Amino acid sequence: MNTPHSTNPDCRAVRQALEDRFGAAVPPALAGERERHLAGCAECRAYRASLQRLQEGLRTLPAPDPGPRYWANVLPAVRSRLDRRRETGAGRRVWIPAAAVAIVAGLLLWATPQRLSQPGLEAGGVEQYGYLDLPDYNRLARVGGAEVLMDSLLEPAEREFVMGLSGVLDLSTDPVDRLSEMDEQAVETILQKLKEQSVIQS
Amino acid sequence: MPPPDDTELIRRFQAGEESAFNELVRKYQQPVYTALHRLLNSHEEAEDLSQETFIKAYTGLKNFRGDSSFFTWIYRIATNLGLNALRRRQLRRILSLDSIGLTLTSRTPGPDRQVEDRETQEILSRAIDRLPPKQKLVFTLRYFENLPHAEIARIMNRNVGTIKANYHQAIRKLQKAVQA
Ligand SMILES: [Zn+2]
Repeated sequence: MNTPHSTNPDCRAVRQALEDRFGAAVPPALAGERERHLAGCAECRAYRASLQRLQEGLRTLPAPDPGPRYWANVLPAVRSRLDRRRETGAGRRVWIPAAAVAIVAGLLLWATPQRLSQPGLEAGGVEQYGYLDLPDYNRLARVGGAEVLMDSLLEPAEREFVMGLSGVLDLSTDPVDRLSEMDEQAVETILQKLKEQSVIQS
Repeated sequence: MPPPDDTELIRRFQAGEESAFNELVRKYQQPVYTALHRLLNSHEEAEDLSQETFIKAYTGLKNFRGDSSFFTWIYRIATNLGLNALRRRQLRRILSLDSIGLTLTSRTPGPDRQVEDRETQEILSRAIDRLPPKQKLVFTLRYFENLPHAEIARIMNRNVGTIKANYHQAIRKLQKAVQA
């Protein structure tokens, strides 16, 4: 298998070095000893070949280009948005989305790797940042639907809290959009709850 | 006469010359849009957040002291907005039952097999889309925008080791996806 994971420290070092160079227009040569390792290690050569295939695939992805009319319109659009903000005064409207983002970040912190590395759940796809990776989410959801997903991710007390929160936020629509419609007092209450639960730090 | 550099433009803007800001927008509109589009894979969102980036820059520039380069600073604004949009999207996926069905359907291969190139592109786009937000951001800036690890570290306010680790993890996931 062309896997980056190997128990051999030389293999690991070589594969990391290959990944460091990934994407460079002219990849710098590996150090002499690593080149020698590659020459003698079929698995590392296979890994290098698979990275080359990945790179070839990535090169075929089209670059985003919205065309000349788009570029000509950026500045007027920015200017008119600036003018509109000046007229309405942006202070209050900026504050609520910021709070919404804080709540979103807090909610995401729930999906910590520790919770996912319970028996039967693969931790491999989950990141150090605490985001729930989509394949893991799908795997969990497939097994038992959203209920199982909740049970797997949350402690009972947290689960209850989320259920309570979902009553506040009406998660059947869109939590973020709903949040941006709420008044400051309601957002403040939720923020306070999240702080009490140590879901958000500040 | 060579075009004025960023420091000069910022100085002029801070001195009240509005047109200097226009110059900065024209200079950076393309990299900002491209990075956001790569990150979000959506023209509408990239367009919206590009404009928002420049609006934030306009407001912030008055107090810009040049602790980082304008390049780093504008990328930081854009990528923060992009990351937040990705997180919102992820939260929606986590909390919305509908998205489960949608995602599962989109994972099922269609009956018609496309040409190989097209198929690889689709697999890759989907795999990139599924990267966790920060990995996706690092991968975008490093691979598509060709920024050095050190510059990405400055933009994201992280150390180079963390950025490299993110890049490695992203590559491995993409490599696994095309291999499968
Ligand atoms: Zn090896």
